[in-house]
Amino acid sequence: MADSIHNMLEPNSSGTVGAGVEILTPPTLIDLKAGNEVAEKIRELNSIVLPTVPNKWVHQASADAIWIGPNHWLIRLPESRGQAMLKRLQKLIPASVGAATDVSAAYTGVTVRRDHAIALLSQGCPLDFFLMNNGDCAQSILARTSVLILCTEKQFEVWFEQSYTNYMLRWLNSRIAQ
Amino acid sequence: MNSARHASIGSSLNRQVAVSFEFNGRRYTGFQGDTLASALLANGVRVIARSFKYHRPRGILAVGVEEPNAFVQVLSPQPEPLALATTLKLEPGLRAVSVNCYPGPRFDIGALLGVLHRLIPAGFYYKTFKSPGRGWPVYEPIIRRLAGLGVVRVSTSSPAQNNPDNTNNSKNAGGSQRQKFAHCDVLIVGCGPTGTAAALIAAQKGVRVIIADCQSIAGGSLPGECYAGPALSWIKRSHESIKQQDNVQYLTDTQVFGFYEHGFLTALQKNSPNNTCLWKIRARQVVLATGAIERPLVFPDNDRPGVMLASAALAYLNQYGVICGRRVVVFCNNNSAYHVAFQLHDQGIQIAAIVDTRSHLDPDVRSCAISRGIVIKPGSTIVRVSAWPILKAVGIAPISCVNGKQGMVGATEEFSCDLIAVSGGWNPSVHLHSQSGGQVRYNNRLACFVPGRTAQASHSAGASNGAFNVETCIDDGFRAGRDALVALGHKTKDFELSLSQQSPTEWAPHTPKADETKKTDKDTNATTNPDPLAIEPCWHLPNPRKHHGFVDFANDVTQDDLALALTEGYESVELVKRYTTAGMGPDQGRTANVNVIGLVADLTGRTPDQVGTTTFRPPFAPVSFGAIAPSSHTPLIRPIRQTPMTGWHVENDAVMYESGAGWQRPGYYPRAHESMATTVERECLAVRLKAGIYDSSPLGKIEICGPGADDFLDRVYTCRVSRLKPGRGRYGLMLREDGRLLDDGVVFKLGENHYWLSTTSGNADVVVAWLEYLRQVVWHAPVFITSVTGQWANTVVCGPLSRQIIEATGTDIPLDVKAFPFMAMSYGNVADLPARVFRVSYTGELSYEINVPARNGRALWEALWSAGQSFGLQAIGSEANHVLRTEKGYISIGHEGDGMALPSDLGLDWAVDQTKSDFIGKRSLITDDPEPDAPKATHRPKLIGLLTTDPQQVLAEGSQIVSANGCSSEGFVTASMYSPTLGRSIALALLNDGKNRLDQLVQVTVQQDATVHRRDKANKEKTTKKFLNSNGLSLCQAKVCPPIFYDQNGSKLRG
Repeated sequence: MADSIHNMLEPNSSGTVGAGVEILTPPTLIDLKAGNEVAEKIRELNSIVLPTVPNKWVHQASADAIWIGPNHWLIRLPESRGQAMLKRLQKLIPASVGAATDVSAAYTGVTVRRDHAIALLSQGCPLDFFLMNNGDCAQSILARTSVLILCTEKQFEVWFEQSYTNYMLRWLNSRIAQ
Repeated sequence: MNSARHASIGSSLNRQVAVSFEFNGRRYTGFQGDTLASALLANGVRVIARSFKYHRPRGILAVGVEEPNAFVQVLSPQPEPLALATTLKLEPGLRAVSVNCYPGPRFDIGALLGVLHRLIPAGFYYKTFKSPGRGWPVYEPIIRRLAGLGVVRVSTSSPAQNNPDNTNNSKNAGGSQRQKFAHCDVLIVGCGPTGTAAALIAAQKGVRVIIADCQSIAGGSLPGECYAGPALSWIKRSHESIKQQDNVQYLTDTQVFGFYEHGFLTALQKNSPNNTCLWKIRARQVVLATGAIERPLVFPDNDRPGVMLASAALAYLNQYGVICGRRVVVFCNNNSAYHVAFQLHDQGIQIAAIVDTRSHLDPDVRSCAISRGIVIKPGSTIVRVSAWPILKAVGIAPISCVNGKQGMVGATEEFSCDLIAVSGGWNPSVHLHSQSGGQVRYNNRLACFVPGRTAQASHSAGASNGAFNVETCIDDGFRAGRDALVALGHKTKDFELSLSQQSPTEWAPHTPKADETKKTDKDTNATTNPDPLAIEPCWHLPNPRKHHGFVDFANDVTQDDLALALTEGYESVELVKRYTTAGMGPDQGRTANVNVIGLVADLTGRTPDQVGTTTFRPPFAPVSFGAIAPSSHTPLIRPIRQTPMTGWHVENDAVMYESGAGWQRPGYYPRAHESMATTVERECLAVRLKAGIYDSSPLGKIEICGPGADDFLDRVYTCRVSRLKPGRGRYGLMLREDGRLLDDGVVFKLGENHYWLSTTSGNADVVVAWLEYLRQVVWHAPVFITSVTGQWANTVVCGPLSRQIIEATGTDIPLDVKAFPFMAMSYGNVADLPARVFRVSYTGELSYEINVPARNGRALWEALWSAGQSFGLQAIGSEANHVLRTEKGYISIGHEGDGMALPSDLGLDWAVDQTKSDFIGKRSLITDDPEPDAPKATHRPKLIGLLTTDPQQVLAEGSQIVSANGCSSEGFVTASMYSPTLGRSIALALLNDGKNRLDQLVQVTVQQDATVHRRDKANKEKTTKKFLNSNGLSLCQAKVCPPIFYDQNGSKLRG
């Protein structure tokens, strides 16, 4: 799967592809829903600070934490540490107080360099990327598909459901070509 | 007309590059920078199209987007109907034809309608062709054929050529149609002197500025005007400075056509006919510097080719070097046309006369005219136009106001001419202001509507605000730019210095002071004598010969039509508009509306202010559907979802279908030379006799946990979920509050307070949203809902040998019946991949659904496929799945679950636990509603099976079950097919009171051209066609039976 995805972003005959778009190595993604007390516990025991300000995400050594909604976060960390973290969180958060669900395989992510982002993403996304700074995130629509967009210092990360991978990469290719 | 190019004038032209083009089959040559209109005028082509209703020959009236006549059909390079010749850039290979004429614009058979004009006055379709009723089928196709301008022609390039994946092909196809979102602090619409001044102010503060201009070169109407040199050079210098700033985005050839809520505007950038970009712009502040449109005068035969707006005649000369006429009559009611006459005269064009409806003229312009030897006819009008076959002369007569109406007071004098340059005043382009919700008000001095109260963060300025000279426009532009910055939070004192720095050197426009921000009202009615801008509105001119005087050229609406509408009682201008269609054509009343309002005012004794305006709606200018939906020919028109196994399906020649929620699924897997029916039959029999494998990853999957999960699901489902033990599941129904079936699926208990439930593929998002609504809004339930549809790939192995296949693949999960019974689930490994396995069935056979993380989906599938080959495993698609579930009598949401069905209608009472205290829909199920379709009504449609009398005849899904006399419907067929297992056709249907009609014969309609699947003696499939019988209804008989055709006691799926 990953190979075929990478092939889709290889330069085509016109040599126009590239444009700072790359597929992200699949990380472990944990959908976390929990109340404030549990969030505090997670910070204490796992050194993961969960952002409470809407549309923010925090990059940290232990794991990245992305605000999705009130009491709802996406935890991201490398696959090598991911399953262990998932088990720790599931142990810490029994079903009676929250939910830590593995959604690693549910999403595909690509990065777009900041200098290409506005030209490329603005062809299908109504967000104002100019206003987004490192640490900002937003849920929006790109090419009529739900996406989660994270802003880092040098690039934007665009996450979408894996079933749209083929469609989204074709769309990105077509827009890069234009 | 002996039109020609001026030798040296033509600021928009590149005379070094000649461009060849074709119009109505004839080849012509123009220059780079020409529009189709200017090139045609330069080549002496005067008739461009025929009019919409009377098929009158029409020429070119205007120079820009306001043109109401010159619509053409573009044939290449990119087919486009209803293109404006005045905005269509000339490019090599351009081929266009006239619209609304046959065989051509000079001789058109449709012109007969002009002779019959008395039969088709305004609103004729409300009066004539109404009776006899049986005549309408005769009239309708004729009227439809006559209506409309141009035809939509789909590009002849193949879908492959349009594939956006292929850049080369995309270029070969000749261009692209794109869309972009943009955001800015200040959007400046228009880049004439006003827009430039606003941009200078806005850009210097570092805010994000977008300038959208419908022309290729900044300057607005100045390049087409006389004596604009100093202003143009200031604009040029200003733009060089503006363009150097990173915070400014300058969109040329971009027509802003819509202004919606919250500062959202739409614009179409058209770099060439086949290269467009639809901009969706969100602006915090908007400066509307959209200019003004010159107004025609309504006089007899004012639509003849050779009648042109005065400003257009001058613009064609100055911008394109086109001399539109050698001997010109200028007809006006204001001073601006005099300046046109003077410059035309100065360029060697003879001015036959200036006909002015005003009796008292501005002394300055009068003396200028006299000094040039130009004849002026004050207090006069054109009463006759001699224009056959070309414009030759006009008849001019003096007029006077008698009893409030203009009338002729003298003899007619004839002037020969080949061009009539008309000016009836100027209409500020208030369209965008009005679309944004702003009000307009009538300005008596200027005789036009100007912007009033604003409703959004917009600032009208310049000519669009009623400022009609360059200096005032620039002043107003500075003011608007500053207002926009102030609204963004900048301090006014910051602008004083910078404004003085930006002032032009050739002349010094007034630099607004901070406290003058709001002093731009042009409605003061101050009477400086003479007022160079004042006009004498002249809506209703004498028409002694009763020839057509057109108010709306695009829709062929005459002043007589307006009078008729008023006579018939349509006094509101909105009703006049609807009755006569004035202002409703493709030009959206850009040249017509104010004349309509003025005439209505005149005819009803009101003022234009009292009459009011009609509603301005987007789009301001025509926008093609291709620009709005640019990917319609491509696979990217809508998102397609694929499962991790899609690649395998395609590689194995599956015919892929698009199903619910955008999922692409395999329909069936034909082998060489295998038909669909044979393939489906083979796949079905494989499942019944050996084993099949199918991809059910699109099924919705939701995890629910939390302390309230038991109670939550008990209320969501009709069954009692809370009694489930971990590792066990149950089939469940979700109802809406009206008791109708919303969705069905299975729910499994994964652990304490932790559940997994499945939904139908198409309803997955609906169900998640529904559950979240219940959780957050209705019950505030302590549960956590997570959609995991994308997380898990779901492979189903079904059939009597399915257990052996999974064991052969390798698993640590005990699969025997005792350890792993029906409706159980288990965690473990399958093919060395971590998996969770559910024992559920949608085929009626022993069946296992194996969930693995999506990344492992294809690996698991291939392992099962490989292990299953020795067992005769076959891949099955959704077609076979549909047959198998119908044989078993399982319902499908969308077929049997049609949005109206109750559980009891579908024989699913057993899935409803009425002993529960409550669940969604329960109250509706037990109510004693007397309505005929209420839950307890006796004659509700019930799910039944149907067996056709002819076992080989397959009913069409959706066929109606009709009463004995064939007059009323008693139900319909929900699923129907040939069952390979039973060797005959079967069907499911919803039949009124069906439960009590078992073994009865019913009549089912057979579709026209219905395909009847039969088998000959050699058991080979053949199809025949069945046609309607003489009474227009073909029926066949079928016997009502229980809806389960296979394994009625369920022993196979539990085995």
